[in-house]
Amino acid sequence: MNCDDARILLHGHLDGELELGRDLELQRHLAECPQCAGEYQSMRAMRQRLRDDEFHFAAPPELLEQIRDAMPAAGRSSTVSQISRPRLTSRTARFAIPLAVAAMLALLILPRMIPRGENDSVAREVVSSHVRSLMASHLTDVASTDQHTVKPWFDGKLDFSPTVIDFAREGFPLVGGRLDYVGQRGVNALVYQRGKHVINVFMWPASDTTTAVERIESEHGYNVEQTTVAGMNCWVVSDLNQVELKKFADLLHSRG
Amino acid sequence: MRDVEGLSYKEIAAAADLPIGTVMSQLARGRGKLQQMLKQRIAKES
Ligand SMILES: [Zn+2]
Repeated sequence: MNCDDARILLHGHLDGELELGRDLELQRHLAECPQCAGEYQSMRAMRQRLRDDEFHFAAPPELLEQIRDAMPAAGRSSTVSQISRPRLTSRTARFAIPLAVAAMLALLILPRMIPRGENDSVAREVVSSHVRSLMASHLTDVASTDQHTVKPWFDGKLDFSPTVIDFAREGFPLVGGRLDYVGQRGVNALVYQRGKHVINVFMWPASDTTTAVERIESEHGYNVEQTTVAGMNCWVVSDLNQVELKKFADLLHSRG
Repeated sequence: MRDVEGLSYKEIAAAADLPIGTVMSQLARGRGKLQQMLKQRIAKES
């Protein structure tokens, strides 16, 4: 099997559509071809990401309509048994399939082109602060799982200090705190952990204290939630999945 | 059709009157383009 064939069969494999013989041939090729094996890994990762929330958008109905219009008539119904119209020539199909793919593309990318508001620039800043905290091996200035140690540490450092609650019992143990900045602003950062995932909570005084937990469009694979806790703006950032991070933000919001 | 309607290769082949092999290679081409564009977009943002 050559690499060109393998690259095509990878799709069949990932869709669970290869017959056993072809699948075994492909496996043999992957075992001896690091390039194709690498491509296989990156395709799997890509699929995972597409399934994740970051790229997973419900398509607006008009767009779905457009996509369906671009498909051959029979493709619009989801069961083959309903195919009764004359079949399309393969010439039409050759146009129809790439068109459908192009429409899908628009579906995935359009939502990311919607102009970003002020929250989005804050989201970008908290994500970069989060990433910085992980890279600089400077995750905490005060490393303690004890909220009564972490809270006083912040006193006098900035002209505000955070509410510090340990959520170990709920599965989100406190790890520590540090001073950080978001944009140009000095902020309190509380660090929590969920399994192997680090959660950063950035806090600074809020002008609007009514915000419930709100999900901010995630940036580069990180999930971001925003809420207010005891008059503080709280931005929660992690590579933890969105469901669990939301649960954490809800906890924070309800206990604050 | 695979990714939007969730049809199997066989169903697509029947609907579009194409051999299954061609369905698979078109799918590979379309997804390849998609991935390329997503990568460019992500690169632009970072
Ligand atoms: Zn190869």
